[in-house]
Amino acid sequence: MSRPGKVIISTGLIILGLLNILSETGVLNFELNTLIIHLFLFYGLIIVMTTIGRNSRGLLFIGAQIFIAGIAMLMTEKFEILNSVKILFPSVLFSFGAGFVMLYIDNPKEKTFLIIASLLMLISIFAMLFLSNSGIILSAGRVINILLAFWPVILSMMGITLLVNKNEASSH
Amino acid sequence: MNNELNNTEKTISDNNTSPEFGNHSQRVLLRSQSDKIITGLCGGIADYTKLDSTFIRILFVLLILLGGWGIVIYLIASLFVPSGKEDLTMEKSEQRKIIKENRQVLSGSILLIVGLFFTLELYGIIEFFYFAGIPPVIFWSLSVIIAGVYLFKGGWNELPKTEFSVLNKSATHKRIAGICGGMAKYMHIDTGFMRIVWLIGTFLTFGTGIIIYLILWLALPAEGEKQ
Repeated sequence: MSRPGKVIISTGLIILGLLNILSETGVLNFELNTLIIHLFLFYGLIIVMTTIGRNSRGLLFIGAQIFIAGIAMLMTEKFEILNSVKILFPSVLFSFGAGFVMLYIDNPKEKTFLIIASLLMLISIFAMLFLSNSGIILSAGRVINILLAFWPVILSMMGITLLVNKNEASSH
Repeated sequence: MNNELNNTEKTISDNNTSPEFGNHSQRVLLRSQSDKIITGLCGGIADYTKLDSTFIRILFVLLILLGGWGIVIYLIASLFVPSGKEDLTMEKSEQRKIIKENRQVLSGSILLIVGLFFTLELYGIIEFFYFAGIPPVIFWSLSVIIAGVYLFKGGWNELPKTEFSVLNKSATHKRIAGICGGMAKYMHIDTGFMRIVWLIGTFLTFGTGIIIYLILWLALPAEGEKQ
């Protein structure tokens, strides 16, 4: 991460911590959810901006996911979505597609990323327009609900994987 | 970690042959400057005890679950244990290897602690507790501020530059076609982590991950082949 990126992110973290303390102690009154949404959007953009073209593609992909997650949270906050299960499947596809678009912009020589991104986004739009009431969307929604219920177990699994494979880091 | 690289184990060879001391070496506990994530305490303990620093770090992480006292012990010990000298002879590649491993351990520990905490909470084994006597919300706010200060002070250093990698199927980190291995290498992340993300993505997108995998299998060259 570049020096300006570090400064922006660290300042944001300090402000978030201070605001939260002020909110908890009753000095300030604001919705924490709204702040988190804006932070997702802000940090998503900052991570993408500071990692693009810097050989930090993992972080670039994550930055794109954070930004799209911020947009999705903003949509659900501002608009009344009747059935959130129906939009989860296309949203995840679109989010992964956006991540691959960023990878393509980072390195335009890799045309494969553009093909995958286009494919994911097309499937996402197609699913949104034509499959909104189909069994696939509803089943995918159920799978997502199960994964959402067990997210701590998934996080632990990811953590253990990173710790167990730590020696592999040096081989990349 | 990398005991051969340690610079913290200050071995004082006592050449005094008097019967009072005899021929022996004395090891001193110092905070590591090479194997360091926050203050280098775990690296120093690992060098001193000849254990893997990851093992020490996991122990400290698990101590957080016991009311957050692991953090307090860590901070107090860091104040009292002196810092070791920086190893100026260490090569860039070795430095990069240690930074990368430590980052992976740090990320893995954070994921593990958050996951374990909420898993235990899911089954009612643990509840939100006062971390070291501090209310949870204040604790999290302070943690966020400390993370900001750590980042600002340059604790998270930029990795030394490496060559620009090309996306291809991995020959070394391969289970089916080496796609996850190749992607992990390209994105500078762990292969196991990449596989889990791919698997979850496939579930979330109801099998689209398999289609993407097959496309990449056909489209990508094998490692060492020209594109």
